[in-house]
Amino acid sequence: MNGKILESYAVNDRLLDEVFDHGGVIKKPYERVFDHFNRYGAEDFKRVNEATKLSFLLQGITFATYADNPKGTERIFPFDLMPRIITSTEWARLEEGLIQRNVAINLFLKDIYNEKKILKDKVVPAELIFSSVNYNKYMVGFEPPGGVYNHISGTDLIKHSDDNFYVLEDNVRCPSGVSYVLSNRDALKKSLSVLFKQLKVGTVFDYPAALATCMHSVAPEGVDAARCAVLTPGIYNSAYYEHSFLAQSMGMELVEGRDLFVDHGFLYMKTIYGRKKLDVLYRRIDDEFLDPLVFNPDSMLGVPGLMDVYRQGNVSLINAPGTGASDDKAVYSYMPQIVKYYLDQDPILQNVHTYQCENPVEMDHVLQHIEELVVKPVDQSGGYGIFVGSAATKAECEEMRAKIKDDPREYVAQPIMSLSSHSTYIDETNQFEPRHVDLRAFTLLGKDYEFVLKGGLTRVALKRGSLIVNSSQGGGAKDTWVADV
Amino acid sequence: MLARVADNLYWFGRYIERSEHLSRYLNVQYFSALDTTSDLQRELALKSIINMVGLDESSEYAFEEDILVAVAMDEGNSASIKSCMHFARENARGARDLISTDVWNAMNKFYRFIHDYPEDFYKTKGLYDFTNTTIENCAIIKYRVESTMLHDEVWAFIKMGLHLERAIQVTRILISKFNDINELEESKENHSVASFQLGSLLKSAEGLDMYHREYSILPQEKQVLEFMVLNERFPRSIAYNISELQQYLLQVGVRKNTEKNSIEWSIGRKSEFLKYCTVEEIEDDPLAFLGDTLTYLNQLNNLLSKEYLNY
Repeated sequence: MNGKILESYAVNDRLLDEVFDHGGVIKKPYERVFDHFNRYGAEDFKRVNEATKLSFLLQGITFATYADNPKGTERIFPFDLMPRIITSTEWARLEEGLIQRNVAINLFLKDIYNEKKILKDKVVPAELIFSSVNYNKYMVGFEPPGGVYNHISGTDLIKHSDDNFYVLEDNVRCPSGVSYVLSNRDALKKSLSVLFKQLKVGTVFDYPAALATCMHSVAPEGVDAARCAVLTPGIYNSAYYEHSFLAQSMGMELVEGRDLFVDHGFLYMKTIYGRKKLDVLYRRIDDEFLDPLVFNPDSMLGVPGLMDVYRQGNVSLINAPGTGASDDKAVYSYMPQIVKYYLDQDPILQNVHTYQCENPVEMDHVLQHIEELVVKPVDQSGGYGIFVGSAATKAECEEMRAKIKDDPREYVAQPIMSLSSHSTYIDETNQFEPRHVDLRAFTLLGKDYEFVLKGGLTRVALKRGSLIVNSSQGGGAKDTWVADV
Repeated sequence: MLARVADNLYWFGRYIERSEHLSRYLNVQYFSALDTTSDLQRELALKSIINMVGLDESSEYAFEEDILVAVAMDEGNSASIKSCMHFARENARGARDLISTDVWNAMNKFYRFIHDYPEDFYKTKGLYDFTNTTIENCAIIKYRVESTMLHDEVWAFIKMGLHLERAIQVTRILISKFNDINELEESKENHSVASFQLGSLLKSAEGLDMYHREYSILPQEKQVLEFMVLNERFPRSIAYNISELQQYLLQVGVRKNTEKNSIEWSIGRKSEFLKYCTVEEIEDDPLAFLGDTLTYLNQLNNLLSKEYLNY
């Protein structure tokens, strides 16, 4: 059995397939990929696929999730060999939209922690912001160096059946996944070098340099050669691979909270030759664990006194604490107004329509149409707590209704968007099958500095029919090519 | 460099070296015991393996297999080879941003091998494969440390761990084998016993061939002692490793080696002493000398930790 691997591909007419049109004809950007893959027999392809997977395991490019994983077994983030292609023209527009949106979010953050104009003008309801658990009172009246809060943004986008990208979610706390973009590209280049050579694909390997530039640009005032570091919770964190990868590729120290201490208003790390001052810290731990003196007193991960040093302007934190007040799913629905308010521009990237459960009229709609909606808790990430109405039983719907009535501020709902699907190699059948995908794009903002990583991370819902792409929920990834095709 | 990370690097070096020596010892002792018809020698070989790994000798092991599993594969035993490799990798992971990708890949690839090694296969057929692959992979990892890393303080801490651990393991091998020889002589086993045991001692340090080049005679107690303790050109002798350790400390150290009670001072004195020591001074009671050496090496570890690795 060494037949062609794409011959029995079934296109679902109701969905947007990124590779095939409704007649089952390959779309132009994918013609070369299709030709190339059709040269493989099923057995050859299987071999390449297995070898690629093994290479991730052997290199230790793995993650461990806490929930299902008491023994800390490591898993690879499943990687699909068929790249997703975004044309350069389409990407240029997307890039513009991402910068616009994240610049607006930055201005919004600056405003809600200082003048609060947008709240006073009642464009965004003040209680929505002040009731957010992620609104950080230690940030009030403080402006970080360079005026930047969301240095690193991970914007989750989907492509809808109308062929447009929509923003599903903004992540401006500690968005992860960028290391997989680089390691996936590395693996794909090795496995499919012949195909790769034929297309001019935009590089992703400039990301570490861009991130370092971004970090240096927001160093505390008066610091010439800033000493920068990456702060990790440690080797048992699920994203430790990414933390060490970023530190290594930027040539910075990878520190843990226990390596750091505060003295007379400055932050130091403990080295073999004594203390060394740190100026910029890319922290990969959540706000509440940053400083046990002001946040969670039980936290062993952070550094006592860090917030104090930060407020004195003696260390820069990437991202700023309190950014979570803007990536809340309830705030998300105001993004078009936020963009308009600060930039006086129409938003380039569209939102998915979102119902606010705390608005009684909208809640009513949600309760009545729950079977057709996706309900999300406003403050969760990683795909946790998501309720998909069409996949729920009657009893589950009832339960969800009760939860919403109990705590309307906690929930938003959106129509079930038909995420586009993309040909994905499925191990069990040794065939390509359509699977839903989204896209996490990474935007960097520094002082007078903007950068969007060309391509980003395409995440794949590996379960047939599933819409949930998060790695913690068994999702996989594809390499994303921005190319002139 | 962070003190915590220096600690990771130092212990990475120590665990790699320890795994290699334990594997070789297990391999050599087990297979040379097969070459003898003497029950006592076979029994001693197993006992000697237990001692090297530091297992409790009084524990009841129902079968030879139990011992071999406990030494090599038992994850519950923190001294087993599998545990050592696990610790080595965890330490490398904690310093992954400082070591080269090549070192990490070699470490991680090998860790997967150990992690997935089937215990049943090991018990019946795999002892040679398991130990030999371990020895080879430790060599690959060390080669990559040597040839792909900057020879700076990151590297120096790995090397310090390697050399201190090697000195300790060699001392322990010597103690273990000299004990075996004493026990066999008391039981009046025949004369070739000592030479056989000394040969397996040298093999346990991969030193038999070089011993022959140095002495051109069958292994004898005095010469073996001189070779393994005092030889300045044999990379597995105690003197050689102490002298190496001294070099790395000087590379890293900010202190002068004249500062009393500093680690630099202490190792300088020991190194000079071993340079001018003769085998006649130690051959009368080698076990006493080796016991003192082991105590000294453990003190060195404490000094090093106190001065550079405490965080």
